[in-house]
Amino acid sequence: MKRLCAWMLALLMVLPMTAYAAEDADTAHKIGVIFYGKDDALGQCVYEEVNHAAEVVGIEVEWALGDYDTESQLTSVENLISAGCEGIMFMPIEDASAQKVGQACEESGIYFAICFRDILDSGIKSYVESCEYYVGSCWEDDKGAAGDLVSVLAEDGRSVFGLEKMNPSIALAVRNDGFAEGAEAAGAEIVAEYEVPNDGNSQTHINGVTNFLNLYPDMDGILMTTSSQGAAEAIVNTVKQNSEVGKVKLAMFDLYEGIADDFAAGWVAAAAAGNSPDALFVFLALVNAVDGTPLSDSFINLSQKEVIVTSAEECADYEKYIDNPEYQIYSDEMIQNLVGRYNPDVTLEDYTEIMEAFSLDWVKENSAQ
Amino acid sequence: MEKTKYSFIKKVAPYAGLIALVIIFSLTTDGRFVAARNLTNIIGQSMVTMIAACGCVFVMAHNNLDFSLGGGCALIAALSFRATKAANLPLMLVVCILFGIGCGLITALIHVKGRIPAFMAGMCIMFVGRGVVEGMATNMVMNLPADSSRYANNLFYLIFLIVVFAICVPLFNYTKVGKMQKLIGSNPRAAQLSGVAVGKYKVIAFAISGATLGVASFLTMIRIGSVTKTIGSGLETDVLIALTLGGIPLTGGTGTRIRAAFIGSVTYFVLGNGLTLWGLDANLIYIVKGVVFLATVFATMDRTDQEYVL
Repeated sequence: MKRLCAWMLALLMVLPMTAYAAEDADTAHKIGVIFYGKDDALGQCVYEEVNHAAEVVGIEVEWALGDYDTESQLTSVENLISAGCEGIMFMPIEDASAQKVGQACEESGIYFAICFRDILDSGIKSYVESCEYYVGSCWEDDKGAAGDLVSVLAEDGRSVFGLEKMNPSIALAVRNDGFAEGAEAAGAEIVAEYEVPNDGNSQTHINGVTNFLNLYPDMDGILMTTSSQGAAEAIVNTVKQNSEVGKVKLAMFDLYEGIADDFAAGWVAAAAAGNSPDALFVFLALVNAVDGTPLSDSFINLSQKEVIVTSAEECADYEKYIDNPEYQIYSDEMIQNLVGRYNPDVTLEDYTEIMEAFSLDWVKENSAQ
Repeated sequence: MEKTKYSFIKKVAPYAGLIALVIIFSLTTDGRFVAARNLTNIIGQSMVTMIAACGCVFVMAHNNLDFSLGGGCALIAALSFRATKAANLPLMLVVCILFGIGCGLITALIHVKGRIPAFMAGMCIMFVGRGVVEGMATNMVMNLPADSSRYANNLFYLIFLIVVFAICVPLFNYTKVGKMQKLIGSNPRAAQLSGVAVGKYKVIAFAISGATLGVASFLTMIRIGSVTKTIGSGLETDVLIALTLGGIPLTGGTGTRIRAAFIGSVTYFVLGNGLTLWGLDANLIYIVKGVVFLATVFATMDRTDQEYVL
């Protein structure tokens, strides 16, 4: 027994010496990605896009999935830094995450970038933007997309809307503003609203929409800030049960299972989605920073356009080209051209140009496969 | 002979597991696991769980589960922020502990006076806590003062850890409070017939668990710099897994050791850290953790007094 203990102690004492081997074990840069998961459509697309891009530009990626709170994201970033990551891309679960993850990276001299989120809290935002190792962020042009959704309804001759409103405290609340501004610009009116429940309770949606239809008989459109967590199914079914086809049409963010049939039947007018390339561009910007060829001397802010789907045919195209983890929207050549080590002339404007061009038609025309 | 061998395995399994993990990860991560920075990370990550687990041992010793930890942590954080505006951190700590004791007492009273299983009473606190913090976080930003981040370091956490263990270890091992918990856990009916005030000692256990939860809540706020909607998420499962990995008997009783909080928390975070260093797929990490958890329960659970009809 004593001999066994002695051997174990000796072994434990020798172990730290192996630490020195770590320094030159890997040659490829390694980037850590903290993301909520890869179980839904967006998560799968992001996972495949980033992995593909990493392979194309010769970067190793390490994922930390399934973190839904600041503490877990902080733990993940600490572990990823320990694992040798030289850059961290993450989607902050809340503003506090942006600060703490950013702080952990800054203290370790690790580049970090934010995907899919803007920071709402001004204090945290100014802290993050003051960090030397902050590469930048990208978020969807939700406001613009909301305006586009209202335009589709307005062009269909609709002007009295109900709003499924996002909780004002979260980043997605800009969709509320986009709908309000879009309605004002189109000369339409939002006459009633209810708030998306935090727990995703379908009954809240059913009650909200039932009230819309009972109290506002002249309502001809419903604007939806989200269709996820079962919201779309609850709202669409309530409208189907309490209204006639075409009397009240829906315009929403995100697509849901069976939306093509509802487009064809005339229940849905438009849906905005297709934001997965957001993470790809942030990742490539981060690769440039880690490579020592940053796109800017300061941090960058990118804006990801969303696709507006307006028919069953477009739904099919969307599912084939954009909402398909097995399909790469951007060719290997395009991806390499956005990285300094393959294209020393790459600039931030190149990113903006490509992101501005993003649309369903563009994706179809430039199909990489 | 068989029983002696079994109890020896139960006793050494948590230590052997931790040592095995340390050796495996040390040899398979190019030395990254044993890098000073990484070890510091693991210690920092595990200390809040350790502190919460330390108080929870009192509850588990009398064969109960405290499911209020995550929601309770959120509730304590939100209410203490509201009460003190985070203007004075020492005051905030005291308020956190008081609110923690309050949470513990409410859970205990629902359980003892209402004769409702403790885990259900704990779940009530969990839901109330989540509801309160979500409502408050929607309406106000609850950031701690910027200078509080200077306390977000391992030395600061370590001081609290030492103090908590310095109070809890003697309390659990050498006083009536701890001994009665184990006695009640071993056989509550016998304890009651022997004149032990079972209800009173259960209330004390929940109050202690609440106090350590208050400290854990305070340190969580310091670590993440604010009170967020998700603060404390999953703390109850982290603590339960940590204590199980530390070898605590799920049925409580005389085999309950407070060191399980320490060993188990370190093991749990070493496992998570090492698997990340391996670069294992995130889904696989969950599977491996699940398998390790099951294996630990299988190896350490005392089935001798359990009746199974199969």
